[in-house]
Amino acid sequence: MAIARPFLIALALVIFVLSNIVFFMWAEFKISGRVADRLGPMETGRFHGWAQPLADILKFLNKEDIIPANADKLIFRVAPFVGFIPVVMVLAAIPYTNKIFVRDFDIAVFFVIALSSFTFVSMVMGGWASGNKYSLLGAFRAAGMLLSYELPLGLAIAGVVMLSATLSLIGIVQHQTVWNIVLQPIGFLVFMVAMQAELQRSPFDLAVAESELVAGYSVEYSGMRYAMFQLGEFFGLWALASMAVLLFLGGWHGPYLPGIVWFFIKFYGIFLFLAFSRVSVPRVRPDQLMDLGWKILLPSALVNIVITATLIVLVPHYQLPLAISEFAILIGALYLMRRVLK
Amino acid sequence: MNAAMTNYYYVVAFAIVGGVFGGLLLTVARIMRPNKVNKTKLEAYECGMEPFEGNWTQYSARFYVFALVFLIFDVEIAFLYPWGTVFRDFGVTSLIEMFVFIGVLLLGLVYAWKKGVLKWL
Amino acid sequence: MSGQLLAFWALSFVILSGALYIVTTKNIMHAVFMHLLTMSMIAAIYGLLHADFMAAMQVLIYAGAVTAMVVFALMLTKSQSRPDGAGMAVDNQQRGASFLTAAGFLAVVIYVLVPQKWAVKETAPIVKSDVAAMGAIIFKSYILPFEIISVILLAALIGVIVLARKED
Repeated sequence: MAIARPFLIALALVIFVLSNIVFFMWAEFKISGRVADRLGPMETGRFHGWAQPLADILKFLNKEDIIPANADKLIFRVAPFVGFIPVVMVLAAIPYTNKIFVRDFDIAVFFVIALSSFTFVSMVMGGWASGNKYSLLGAFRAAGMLLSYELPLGLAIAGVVMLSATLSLIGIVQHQTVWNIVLQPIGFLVFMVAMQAELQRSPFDLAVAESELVAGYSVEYSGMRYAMFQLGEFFGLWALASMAVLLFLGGWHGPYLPGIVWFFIKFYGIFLFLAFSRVSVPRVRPDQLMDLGWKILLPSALVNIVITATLIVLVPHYQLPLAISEFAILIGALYLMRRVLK
Repeated sequence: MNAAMTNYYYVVAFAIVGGVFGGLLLTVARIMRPNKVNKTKLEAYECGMEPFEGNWTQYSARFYVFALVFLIFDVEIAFLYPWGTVFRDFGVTSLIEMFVFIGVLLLGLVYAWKKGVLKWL
Repeated sequence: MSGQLLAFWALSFVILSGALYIVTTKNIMHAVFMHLLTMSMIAAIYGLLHADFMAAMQVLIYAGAVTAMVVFALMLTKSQSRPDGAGMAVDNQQRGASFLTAAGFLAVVIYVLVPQKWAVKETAPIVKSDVAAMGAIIFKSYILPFEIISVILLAALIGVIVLARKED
């Protein structure tokens, strides 16, 4: 029994996350519909089209699976797994409360970051193996973009690590008597932007831009293989949104309600933010993308680290000065940017 | 089994479940889906014509420079984490050490920026 | 045979055969992706040694960043041949020199490793993960090598920019 336990837990978690993903899909249909002054799906399952994601999954299962003649068959088949397995492994590191967690890794934060680097490898594999110019171009764009935004993401997380002096996610949450969003507003902002780029979601979806690159690296994929890429992306969303809650929003801390409820309230808050930002911001251009990543986010994250480190070492009660100086710099920088951009 | 070994066991179990789950999805799809391929379906996606050049063409050197700049900063991040867990024990010394490290790499970033490497094509 | 030892031999087998595949295959992209697998398995070996942080670092740097770099570097080459390398030779006219280099390296490795007395144990010692301990060692005892790393990285960065500019 003890031998089978991890497998059962993993399976239960995968199914749990999957059922949430079905809800995500429906919620995104509805939100993007309403924002564009449409109703969204209304027919499937009668009540507000609740069964639409299920119908989509059924469609994926029924789609013919085509592997192009000049594709590299082996790599083509392996690529979706390279994207999917690491994001399932990440689930082992994410705690939901201090009682409900799989394992408490000492290096949980670093574990998640390291495994997320498989994402772009899977895209390059899929894009190259397809034997198509569009897909290779899309894969290269995706890889260049993921590379550029992994750095600010990692640096923003480093600021949190410095505050709590541990890499364990449970330890980081337990350390947050004050939520890190108050102490690390710059880090939080960088994290939220970089996270959307890492997830390839709409302001930053130019790697799969349907209108230019006809779906990028996944153009030759169809049916379930394509769905596995999508599934991997949703699992990545799950992981990164959980990370945002745990690192910056105090995890399961909150008054009155039990911890698990607080966790999911915050989690769905992040999800709503992602869903709305997807439909309200236009897609960025590649040059803007690079400028934002390398010339704004990366230096901001470095400044954040320098301020945090200096105040922690030099000031005994650093929390209040840290919060004040971070907010002051943030507001100042945003004001300056507005002036310059006008 | 000690705690650390149990951790690895869990990680491996999650990897296996991920692989098996993916395989299961593909198998179900294989049973359900039609399979009537023909030559035209297997062509690479283009505007209806046979693609006249493979996808193995030369790309700009910029991508390579990107990857190298990324690699270098990735190494820096990897060092930042252990530093972040201990730096307050050593006080100002570790602060200066890290600032020298970041400063040197920042020099590289500024150089790359000035040379216009960070621009998209 | 303990489970750890079994895992070690299995991983070693995958790593060595993967490495062999990398040098013998004609399809250069297959070599890259096999490199990815080999590096991930080496990370698993670090895991067996209870060096969690090193394992994660191995995945982050080698499986992620280096693979991306190699793919981009390959895409720089102007290839007249097909990507699967059909009709290409695995070696070239430098095979004699490279054989000598490899043999010399092997000799050095044997010279260093064989007389070494190893503290062999059946199972790895139970240690708490030691990111903090590792950080303490790096930033206390090995601070000079650490700073030299940054200068080397800077040199590599400048070098590649100079080379890339020349090609433009």
